[in-house]
Order: sequence, then structure tokens, then C-alpha cells
Amino acid sequence: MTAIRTRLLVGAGLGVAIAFVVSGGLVYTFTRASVTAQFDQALEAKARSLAAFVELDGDTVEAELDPAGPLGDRDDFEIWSRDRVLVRSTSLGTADLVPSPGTRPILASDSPGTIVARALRDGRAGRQITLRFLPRVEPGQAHRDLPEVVLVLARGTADVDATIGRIAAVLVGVGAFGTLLALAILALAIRLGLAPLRALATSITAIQPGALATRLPPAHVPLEVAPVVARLDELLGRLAFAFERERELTAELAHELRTPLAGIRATIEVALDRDRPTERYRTALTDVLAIAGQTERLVETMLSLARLDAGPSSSSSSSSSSVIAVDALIREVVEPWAQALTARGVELDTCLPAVTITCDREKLRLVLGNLVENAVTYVDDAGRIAIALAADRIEITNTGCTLPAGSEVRVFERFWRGDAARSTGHHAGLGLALCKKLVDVIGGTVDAAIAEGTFTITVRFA
Amino acid sequence: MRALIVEDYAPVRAAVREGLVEHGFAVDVAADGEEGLWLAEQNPYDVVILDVMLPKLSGLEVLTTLRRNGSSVAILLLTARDTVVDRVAGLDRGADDYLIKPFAFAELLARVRALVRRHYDRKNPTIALADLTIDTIQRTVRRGERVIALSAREYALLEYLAVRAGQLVTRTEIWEHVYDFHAEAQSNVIDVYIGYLRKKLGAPPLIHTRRGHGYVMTVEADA
Repeated sequence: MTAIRTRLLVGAGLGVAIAFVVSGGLVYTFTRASVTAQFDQALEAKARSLAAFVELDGDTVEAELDPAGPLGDRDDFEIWSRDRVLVRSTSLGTADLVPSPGTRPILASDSPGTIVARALRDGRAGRQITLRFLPRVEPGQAHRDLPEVVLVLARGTADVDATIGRIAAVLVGVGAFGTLLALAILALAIRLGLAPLRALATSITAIQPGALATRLPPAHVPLEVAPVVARLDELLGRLAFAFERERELTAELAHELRTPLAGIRATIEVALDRDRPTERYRTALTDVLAIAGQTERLVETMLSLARLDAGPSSSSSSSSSSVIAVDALIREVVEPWAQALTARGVELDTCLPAVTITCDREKLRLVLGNLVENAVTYVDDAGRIAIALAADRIEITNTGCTLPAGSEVRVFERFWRGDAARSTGHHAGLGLALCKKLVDVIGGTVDAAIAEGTFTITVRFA
Repeated sequence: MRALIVEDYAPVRAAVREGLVEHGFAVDVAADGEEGLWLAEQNPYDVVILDVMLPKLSGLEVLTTLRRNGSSVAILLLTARDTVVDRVAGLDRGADDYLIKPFAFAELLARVRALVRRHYDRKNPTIALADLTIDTIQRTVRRGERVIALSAREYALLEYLAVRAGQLVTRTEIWEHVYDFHAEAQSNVIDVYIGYLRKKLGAPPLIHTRRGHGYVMTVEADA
């Protein structure tokens, strides 16, 4: 994980360094070029003033120049004409300078010098100018064939190099210091800039699962972070809602499990209270087994709901769509109840034309099973249950409904029961909630209607 | 002592009923709030065990109605909800005690006994009358050093007379409070059992007859 601060610092540091190197390089190059040009100008001026001493006197070229004079003090120079040395600076001793190859000679005053960097005799760095020119002629004296004169002047560049070196050192120093300073300022700026993020992190750290009602402080949040804070707040809101719902469901489940547990415990404790005939223990164990069965169904239903809540991805593994004859499935689901309904005098009225739909058979069976069981549980004795199937819907109606009008929506809530009790001992108020969830997954809608003591559930297929 | 159990969940209802009967209580049961309220208003129970979540009429509604109509019966609430709000709601409506499901039957029994004692203004689980000692927990009776073996009916009758010691107890009251006498066909069954008790307790007599009224249990001589 890379810190934003590190990334910013490295990036900005590199940028500043590159900017300094490039601009320093340019400054160095231009300075060096202009200093060298000045040097060369001075060198050339000197060479021309030396050349002015060379003239044609009769048929010979002469340089009326005293090597020990004021012009020969500092620089090495040597002047030839037709391979004859006219004059050389005393500093050269017997050594020769080497002229650079040059162009056709013209008059000294116009001749372009050829300047090259060349080490001096003693090895010091220097620059050398070579002038090829025709000697000056006395006025009135005409010469057709003027001999070429070659002048070489060399001067040490130590002073110039020192100046350039100083400039380079200053540039490097300024660059390095500037980069460091920029980095320091950047680090500080980033630190200040990221302060709201740190504050945000501290706020987020303080949020525990138990305190999801906390909202992040909107003050002092920078513009760029504001959307993140807003999304985080929304996320917190959703989390708080989910946690609250989970907490309520857990409390309900605990409550629902306590009742059968109370039954199991009371039955066993009373049975163990004293010595009894074996038959009596058998009865107690059978009772406990029945309670365990009810509890198991409750837990299974809860688990089914939880799995469906987890989303279609986790339940899709077991889902397999097939073409189902709904009328046959309804008959299959109703059949086990038929005898009990007859015994209670309940009229069972079914209208089941042949209808097929494509969906997950097990889910549809669960839906129908729960709806029929719900109707059977709440129908009054000598009442009526009607099951009507159509191409796009199933309607299950039962009489004996004691629910107040307006509770149509609540019947699908988990653990909601019309009269706040388990009249059959194991009705936890989960059946319709499960149905709604399953129908959602199958892809349809389910609605409840209450009218004049009848309760109707309608499942519509999409 | 006579108890009413109002509980819609059959396994709990049956087990508690059987347990209380085996510990000498005369027990009636109701499976919903309406039936429970009706029974509680018709009969002078010593204790009512009332579930909160009931069909038709909730336990809290039954409780409120009973108290509003002036009933002073001891009421033990059974609830599967354990939040402070739920517990306070029950007590504030006039319940004497509450027990959270699932519960230990021994605790239910102990709380029911404590409620019965309070109902008769007693604190001591042992009743002493002259040299007669009745341990209402173990349900044993001694006269001096002599242990007196009693049948369940005899014990229930003796305990009821003893908690009402010094007061006139009518036949109707015995009929209503003592173990399944109210289900007995014979009309003179109370006189028969009073006779058994007198014989077993020996002299000097502790149970005295008030002719035309009923019985009084006291150490004083028959006046």
C-alpha cells in the first residue's frame, strides 16, 4: 500500500529536480557560450591587432613586433609567412604552435579567424585562434602575388573556466537547495492538505458496530473528499438500518426459540421430578421430540429466509428452472390436508385448469405449501378455502379471517402474527414472509387482501 | 392451593400443570386469554400463571382487566421477552412476579409457593401451630417428634386450614382451594377427610368444627 503522501512527495520532488536540472543546464550552457564568445572576441581582437603589425616591406613580409613588448606579455603567439617564422612570443621558447587548417587568405582586417579549444604547451586548457591573411601593403605599392601569413594566438582559459565553474557550482547548489526546500514545503503542504483525511480516519475509527447512528462531521471537509464523506455517511445509514433489522430479527428469533425451549425444559424437568412408569417417560420423550421437530422447522425457515436475503447468487446454485404443471403441484400440496379439513367441516373449493409455468419447482412448492398451510391454519371450522388458478395468477382465499383491515402489508413481515400468539403452537409468523421472498426470487408478486372476514393471497407470475 | 395456568403453548401448559398437581396444587388450565380471564374471574385462585403472548386476549390485557375489576389474586407472568421494558410493563400493570422462558420448573414452583405465602401474609415456609410443624416445601408434617404420614389430599387440606389458622374456613372455600375436591362427586368428602386428619393429628385437637359454618384450626379449646 502506497501512501498518497509518499507518492505526491516522490512525484513532486522528481518534477522539481527535473525542472532545476533542465533550467540549470540551460543557464549553464548559455552562460558558458556567452562567456566563451566574449573570450573569443577578445582573442580575435588581439589576433587582429597582432596582424596589423605584419606588412609587406618590399618583397619580404615583416612583423614589426617586439615579442617582449606589451603585446607579447601574456599569450602565446607565432606568425609565419611561407613557412618562415616572422615572430613568436617569448613564452613559446623554441616550441611551435600548430595552426588550424584554414580558408583562403584575405586581408587581415576581414579574415575570419578559426578558433578551437586546444591545450597550451604546458598542458593548461586554452583556446587558439588561427588567422590566415595577406600582409598589409604600403599605400601606392601594388603587389599581385601577396604571400600568405599565418598567425596563431593561444590564450589560457583558466580564468574563464574558473568563472564557469563557479557559475556551475552556484547552479548546482541552488538546484539542490531549491529541490530540498521545495520538498520540505511540499511535505508540509501535503501534511496540512491531508489533515482532513486523518481527521476523517479518526472519526471513522470511532464508529463501532454498536454506534452506527454516528455521522461523519461535515465541517472542514475539503471539496475533493466531500463526496467520499457523503457516500460513507450513506453507507453508514444503510449499515445501521441493516444492523437494526438484523438485531430485531435476532431478538424475534431468540423469542421464538425460547417458547419451544421452555416446553422442552418444563416437560423434561417435570418428568424427571420423580420416579415414574416407563410409559410416562416415553410420553415425555415423544412430546419433546415433537417440539424439537417444530423448532427444527422454525430454524429451517429462518435459514431459508437468511439464504434468500443473502441474494440470488448464493441460492442460484440450487435453483433449476423447469416447466411445472401448477395445477398438479397444487393438488399435491393440498392433498395431505384434505382429511383434516373434511373433519373440521371446511369446504375446499378448487378451480384448477391446466396451467404450466417455468420456474424453480422446489421454490414454487414451498410457496404453495406455505400459502395452503396458512389458509388451513386460519380458516374457521365449517369455513371455506378457495384456490383459483389462472394463466398468470393463483388466488388462495380462506374464511375466518380475524385480521383488522389495513394489516394486508404487515402479514408479510417476519414474526408478525395477527393476534400476537401461536395458536397452533409452532406458528412463528414466518410462512408468508418466506413466500414473499421466494416469489421475489421466482420473479412475481404476492399481495394480500382482507375483506369481510376473508383473507385472500394472490400470487402473480411475471 | 389452587392455581390457574393460562398458556397457549400446549407442551408448557401440560408440563406445568402436571408438575403443580404433583406438588399438591389444584390446577385449572386455559389456552387463550379470554378463557383465562373468565376462569380467573369465576374462581378464587391462590395463584395465576399467565403467559404474555396469548391468542384472543394478551396476558397483559388479562392482567389489566383483573386488576381493574378488583382482583387481588397473585399473578406470575411468563414471558419470552426479556427486555427491561417488557418486564417493567408486566410488573407495572399489577403482576406480582415474572419468569422468563425458558425457566427451571423448580424455580417456577418456588416462586409460586412464595406468591402463595405472600397471598396469606406469611413469610416462613414452615407453619408452626402449638407442637404441630408443617414444612410446606418438603410437604412433611410433624407433631412434636412424631412424623405424621398424610395422603396428598389430607396434606392439601391441612395446609389450607393451617395457612388460614385462627380464621373460619367454610366448606365452599375448602371446595374451591383444595386439591381436586371440587371434582369429587361425594358431597361429604370434606367431612370424611377432616375426620381422617383429626385421627392422624391426635390429641389435643387442633381442628374445630363451627356448626353450620365450617372449620377453624387453632390451639385454643373448642368454645
